Amino acid sequence: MLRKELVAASAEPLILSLLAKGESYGYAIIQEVKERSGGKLNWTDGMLYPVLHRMENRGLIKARWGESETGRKRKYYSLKKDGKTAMAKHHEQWSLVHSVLAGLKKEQYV
Amino acid sequence: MFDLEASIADWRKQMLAAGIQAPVPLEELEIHLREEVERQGKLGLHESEAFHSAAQKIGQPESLKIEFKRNGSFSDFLLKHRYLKASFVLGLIWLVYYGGYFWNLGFAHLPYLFNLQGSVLIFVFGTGLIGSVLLIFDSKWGCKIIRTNALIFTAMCVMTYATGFGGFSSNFGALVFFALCLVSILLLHWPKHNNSVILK
Repeated sequence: MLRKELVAASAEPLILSLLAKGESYGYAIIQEVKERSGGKLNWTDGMLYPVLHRMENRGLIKARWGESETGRKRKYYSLKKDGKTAMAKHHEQWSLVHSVLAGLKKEQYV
Repeated sequence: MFDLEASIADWRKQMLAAGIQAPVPLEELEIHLREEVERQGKLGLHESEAFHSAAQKIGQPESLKIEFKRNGSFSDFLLKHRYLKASFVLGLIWLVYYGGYFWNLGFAHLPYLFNLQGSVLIFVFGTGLIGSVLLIFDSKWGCKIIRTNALIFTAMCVMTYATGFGGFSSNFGALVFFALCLVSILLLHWPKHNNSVILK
């Protein structure tokens, strides 16, 4: 299991990156993150929605009401232009942290 | 006998009692709850177990309320309203300034400005007028033009104060104008387009 702080910090870049593939809805976003992390990134399901609303308020993503195949109402989220920019920034920053960490780890084995 | 609809209605009441009263978040949470109950049901769990597990996964109403409450903060209000962006506000101010210049000048006088000094003035104020409109629409070029012009004006203001020559008078209006130039230079970054300083 990942630390709470790391889970919280990674929520925005993960949501943006998932939405970059196409529009999605809350439940599917949680399921995909869970699947891709092998169950190690476990969000409290309800906590995703305040994050999504915050990102919507900041103009990073937009939402529309739609229906599922079974006729259930769903709120679909998709990426906006500012969201793409924010995603690129996140990727840059996380890659930097990763490369520094990887470099330091490598030095320990030299 | 377990009644799913009655349990969901109770769960909604708990959420409402905790303060999650906005219809959209509550509706989204309920949709999520139903999807999870359905998924767990397909995995073979009894409806009652599926419901309790799904409700637990959604989280405690109190902690959810705290998270949703953060969305109504002042910084979120600023983020939501684009017109509070530095680019928009400064674009409007500069549009009034440049527009006012041409309005006062009167277009009939334009031919008299076709000498070297006049051409420079028309170029600076003309690009400024276009730049301010572009800036209102959050354009990168608007940002560049307005910032360049603000730098030119700042240099002229400094020259006026230092040598008494530069075209600007030393009065209150000139000081306000000088401050506007400095604010524009500081908020409209160059060369990187970053106009959300106000929002940070």
